[in-house]
Amino acid sequence: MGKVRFDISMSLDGFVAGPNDGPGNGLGDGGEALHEWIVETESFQRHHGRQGGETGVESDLLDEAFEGVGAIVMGRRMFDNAEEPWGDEPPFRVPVFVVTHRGREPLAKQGGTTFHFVTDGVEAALEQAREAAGDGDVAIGGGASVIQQLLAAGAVDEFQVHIAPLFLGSGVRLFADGEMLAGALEQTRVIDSPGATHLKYTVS
Amino acid sequence: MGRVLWHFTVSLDGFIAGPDDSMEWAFDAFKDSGPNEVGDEVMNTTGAILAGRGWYDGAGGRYGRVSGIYGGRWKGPVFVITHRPDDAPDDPTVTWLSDGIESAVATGLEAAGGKNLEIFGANVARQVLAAGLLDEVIAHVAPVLLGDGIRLYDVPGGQRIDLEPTAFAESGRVADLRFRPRV
Repeated sequence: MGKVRFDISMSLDGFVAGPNDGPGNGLGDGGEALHEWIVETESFQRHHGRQGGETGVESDLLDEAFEGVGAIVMGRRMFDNAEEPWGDEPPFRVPVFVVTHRGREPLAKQGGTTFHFVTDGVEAALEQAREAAGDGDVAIGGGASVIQQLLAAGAVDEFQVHIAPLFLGSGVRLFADGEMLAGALEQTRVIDSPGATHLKYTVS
Repeated sequence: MGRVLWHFTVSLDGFIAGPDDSMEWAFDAFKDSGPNEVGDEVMNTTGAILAGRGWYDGAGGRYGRVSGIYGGRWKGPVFVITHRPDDAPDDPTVTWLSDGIESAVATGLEAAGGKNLEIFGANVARQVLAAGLLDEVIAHVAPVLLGDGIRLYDVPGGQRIDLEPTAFAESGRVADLRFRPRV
């Protein structure tokens, strides 16, 4: 069985989106800077069906985030915020299980991404994702709420936080208040690149 | 002229002090890491400290105030900003300031005598940042989630500050990140 993991960009003060996030403003006010290290990379361009972009450590890190992933779990807020910018050919190219209160038929997109809408909770979505992934990993696509629920459930094996060089002061925090983790974190790898610092952890 | 530095250890979830101003989590993060070169360099180049009342009453108060700074290894003038100078305790180890952030930074820099002025406390740091007076951010990121405590940078409605990375090091369990605020 594969791992359950996530990769996410965060400001130094702990935010994964600025204030007032929503459809058309997926990363919140000022939050687009969180992804500046990603958007020019060759990997990002390739995963969005485009050519060009910069190769190097940042592109390699994004490749690594996609590599070996057999399925994805995602929250509905993230799906709603990002469905339009993803367009007809979302970058995932694997089954994506969206945790939602409103059921709907699976939505097959070009390039291998199919969104499945799961109405019986985040852990049920994770179970379905594990099954779909087979021996592959399950990536938690975000947003923060789904990540928090799966961390609290002890379901996450490892994660990588890409610290973008900014303070936001307000917005969507990656980690919730109060007890978040049953286990302890171990920092297993640290990579510095021009656009971010990449901190990898295992949960024990 | 010295520079104005904000040097802190931050949990992965963005706190610089835990519940009840506890700092054991930060001490633990460094315990097995050996000497931290970045931390020692900051300590050795610091000529004065400008702290907030929150630090004085909170984490500072819990860990020996002036005598506990850098585990007692640092000596020098410590200034504390307060809006209530009449209520300030009679404490000969600190100098109380209440003439605004710009005046406080100027006073601290002068007392630092060519060395750097270090900022203690999230509230003072936020004011120094907003005034465009901060020269460097030096962060040690610790692999812990605290869930409660003093937030690193908390501004209702948000106040984005872009940072330019200037240096990076890995030291045992912590990652050392240095930045210059872009203004």
